[in-house]
Amino acid sequence: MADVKYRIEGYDFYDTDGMARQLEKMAADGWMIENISGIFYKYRRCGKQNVAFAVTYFVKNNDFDTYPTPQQQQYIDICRQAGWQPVLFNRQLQVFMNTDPDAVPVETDAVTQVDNIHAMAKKGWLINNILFIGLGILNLFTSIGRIKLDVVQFLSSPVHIIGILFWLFYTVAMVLATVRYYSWYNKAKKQAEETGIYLQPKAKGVNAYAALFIVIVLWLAYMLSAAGGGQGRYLLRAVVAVGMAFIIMKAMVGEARRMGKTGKELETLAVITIVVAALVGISIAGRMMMPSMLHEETEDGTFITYEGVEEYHPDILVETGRVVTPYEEYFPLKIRDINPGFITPSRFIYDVEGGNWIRLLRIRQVADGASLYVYIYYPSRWAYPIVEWRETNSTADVFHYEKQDPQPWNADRVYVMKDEAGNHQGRMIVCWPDKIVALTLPVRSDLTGEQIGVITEKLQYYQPVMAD
Amino acid sequence: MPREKFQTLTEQMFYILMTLKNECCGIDIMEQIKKITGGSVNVGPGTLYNLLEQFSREGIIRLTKVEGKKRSYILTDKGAALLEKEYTRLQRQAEDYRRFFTQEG
Repeated sequence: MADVKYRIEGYDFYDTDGMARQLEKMAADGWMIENISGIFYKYRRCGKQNVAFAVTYFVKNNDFDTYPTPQQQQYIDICRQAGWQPVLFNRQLQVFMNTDPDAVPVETDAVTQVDNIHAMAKKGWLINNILFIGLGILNLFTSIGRIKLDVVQFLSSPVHIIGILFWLFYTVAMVLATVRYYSWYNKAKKQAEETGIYLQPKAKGVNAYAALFIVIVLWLAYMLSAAGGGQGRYLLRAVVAVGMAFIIMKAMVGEARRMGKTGKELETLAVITIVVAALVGISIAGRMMMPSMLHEETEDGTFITYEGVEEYHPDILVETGRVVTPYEEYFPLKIRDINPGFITPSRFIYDVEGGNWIRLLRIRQVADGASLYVYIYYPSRWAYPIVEWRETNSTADVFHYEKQDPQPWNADRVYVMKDEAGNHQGRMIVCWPDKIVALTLPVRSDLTGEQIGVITEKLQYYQPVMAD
Repeated sequence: MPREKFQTLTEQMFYILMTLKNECCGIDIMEQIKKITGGSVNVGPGTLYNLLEQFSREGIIRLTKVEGKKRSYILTDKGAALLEKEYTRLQRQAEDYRRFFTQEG
């Protein structure tokens, strides 16, 4: 039978009475509170006890003080003399226990109690909320900008989609939490001054921190499941690295506190560790946002791997900003299949992006100065029309897409890019049931039946096999 | 609109200041208030600590001595004036009440 129990209790920080009643209930069930850290409560098994609890804040404490501070000790002494025994301190939070269930409460003056809680809010909670709301609004604006710029690119990234949902949810939760707090505070202050009665906050609502925790867990789970092998690994490494850095920081601060270091020294130590942790996380996570490796197919059929490359190709300026993932098979469609006069083997750059909803494979190849770009989208059913619409409408004003007979392609729809004079621009979009292929051809003329046949044969059922 | 601090006193503030007419320490303040009011007013230790801190900061009371864990305070002139002002206010209220109900009767 476990002696320790962890629970998530979603009490608002200002619902001190709610917290105290919960601790009383747990003690009556045989579980004594041992630590409270945000929404996480640690209980230890004890005999069933009918005791009173009081939860208060000692606002003068700083986050890195060694508890109890001399001033806090005076507070504790007064409480002790009145029968209230200290149970735990965590930063400003203090929990007291009294074996007399009918003891005079620790807080008896409603005005002082409300003022104390508001001082606590101003000390950290409100500033955090306002910062997060600002950050959330900034992120939402950035995301909207990305959607306007390229909806397909946005939808192809699970990071972007979950990111916008996360910030939307969290910003709303933070705003609601702040509004709810001020609504309670204004009423409580008024009531305390007019009647001397303390206004209890309403029962447990949506706790922003609980919401944050749940959202982060879901977000990471989704990203890890949706990201490609390379992305997932980098993300996992970043999460583990930052997590470990924080565990080390907590241990170091704890050890330094035991050694009697003062608040200022502990603060400096913690700040340094946090900065190091953040840099480690950013550097690892940052690697998945840029192509750390490019794989170029060579004439003898082997791959050359370029590590730490951001932009590389001898003949083509490669669009960068993605993880480049090699494929175990060679791309079946070569430039010489379309231009039989070409004899030089093609050299390829592959890259892939996207998640569960839209996956995009880019294959760029060169041979004898000619190039063939093949972009293949594998959209889910609902995203298919969005990709088709975006691909056929993202042209400069002087160009437009014309529908062509899809029959020779064995496709649903085929589009050809033309200029105002009706000249073929060497760019086509072929919509097969499971994929949309955008071709930038090495020729700028209508394709022959033979060329169409070769492209259809090689691409219609093409499914890449991604290397691990 | 929140009222100005200590413009008027709450019941607990009033009794704490009253007991500090003579030098007194924390636990004794709580006991005295209980005794004076026959148990109808109780001051919690958290409230007492916070109010003693605020009163000290505002110069309403002052620390007289520290003996181990006991810290004793006494009312200052400013505090005495504040208490007197509050007493006058309460007396006026009581007087108004009495007059109003006497007239009605």
